Amino acid sequence: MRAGRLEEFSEKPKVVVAGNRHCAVARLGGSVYAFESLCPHAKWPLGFIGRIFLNREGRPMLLCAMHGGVWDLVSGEGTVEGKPAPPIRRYPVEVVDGDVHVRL
Amino acid sequence: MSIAKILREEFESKRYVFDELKRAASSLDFLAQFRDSYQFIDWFKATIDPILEINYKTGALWIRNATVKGIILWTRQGAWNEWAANSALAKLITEYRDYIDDEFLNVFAHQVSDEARHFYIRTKVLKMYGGSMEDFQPIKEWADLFEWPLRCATKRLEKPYFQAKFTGAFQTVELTATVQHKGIVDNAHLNPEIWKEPYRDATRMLVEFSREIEDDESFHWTIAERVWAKYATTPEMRAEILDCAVGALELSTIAKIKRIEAAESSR
Ligand code: FES
Ligand SMILES: [Fe+2]
Ligand SMILES: [Fe+2]
Repeated sequence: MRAGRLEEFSEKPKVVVAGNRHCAVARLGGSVYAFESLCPHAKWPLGFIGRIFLNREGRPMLLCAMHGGVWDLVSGEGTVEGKPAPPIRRYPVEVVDGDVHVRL
Repeated sequence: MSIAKILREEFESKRYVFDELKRAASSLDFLAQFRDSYQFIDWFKATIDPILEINYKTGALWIRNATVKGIILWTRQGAWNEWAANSALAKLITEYRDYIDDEFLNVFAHQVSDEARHFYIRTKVLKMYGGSMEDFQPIKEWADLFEWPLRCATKRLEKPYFQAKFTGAFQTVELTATVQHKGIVDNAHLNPEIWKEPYRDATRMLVEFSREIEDDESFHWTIAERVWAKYATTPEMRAEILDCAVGALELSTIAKIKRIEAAESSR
């Protein structure tokens, strides 16, 4: 699905809905990440409460501030309060002429 | 600019969410596309994310800028809300008990005890700030909001529709309340004004209470998730749920902004 223009996205995930499908999209500089809209922990939508950032090793991470869960957006692994949490589903992204496309 | 005004503008810019939900509610073809009830619930939560963001801010932005006088006014309305919630729920589990599955009847009763505890703590916090419920008149939008669930659900007074419609309205409000309280808990420390003596203890209590409420409201929302998981298996049922949920989402967001407006007008 076409998610929007590159510049519409930021480190604050945006939940994009098209028909009955949806995902969250976030951007750090020129890198765009797409993942499931709802937090794998307790299924709160990640737009209003999520943030992405680079950790000390430079890996893109997602923080869900609802209960402080953190997920690695490359491996999908995550923890909530130090305990392993269900992995986050990620989707392939393609940017063509500034248009962000997500393969769900 | 006042916080109420900022939130009102944000609300106007996100009206498209309500339009999308209404469009969905009127299209059985669209609602037939969900594989199962869980997929429908997930779609609902993803779609309303922008509205949850406003509700988060009705807690976050408000508490960052609140005065003690404003907190008193806000808490008076809050205490009334707990009372109003319980009068609707009490009616639900007595007058309408024949339209509710046994398994949900007890969960609603659990919610009643939570709302009674909320009322108790809210009036306690109110007293700590030096306020009281004397001469209180509720804001009209809140009165409308608490009338809505039974008004909407009784449009189909039959099993299983009634209970699904009721939770569509009432429990959706609980979902918005969860994030509002989360906003308060996350941001109260940023407002030095409300931590000054002699109100320090009252504010500490308000924050602790908001954390407690956040958990309860989240549990109250899961009552809808349970009912919907069981019954939102047909497009017709999904449309009936949305019919009540959209109104509740709209009303509860407006009512929260009105409550801030009223608290701000006391400056
Ligand atoms: S819902 Fe995201 S960490 Fe719990
Ligand atoms: Fe409550
Ligand atoms: Fe509640």
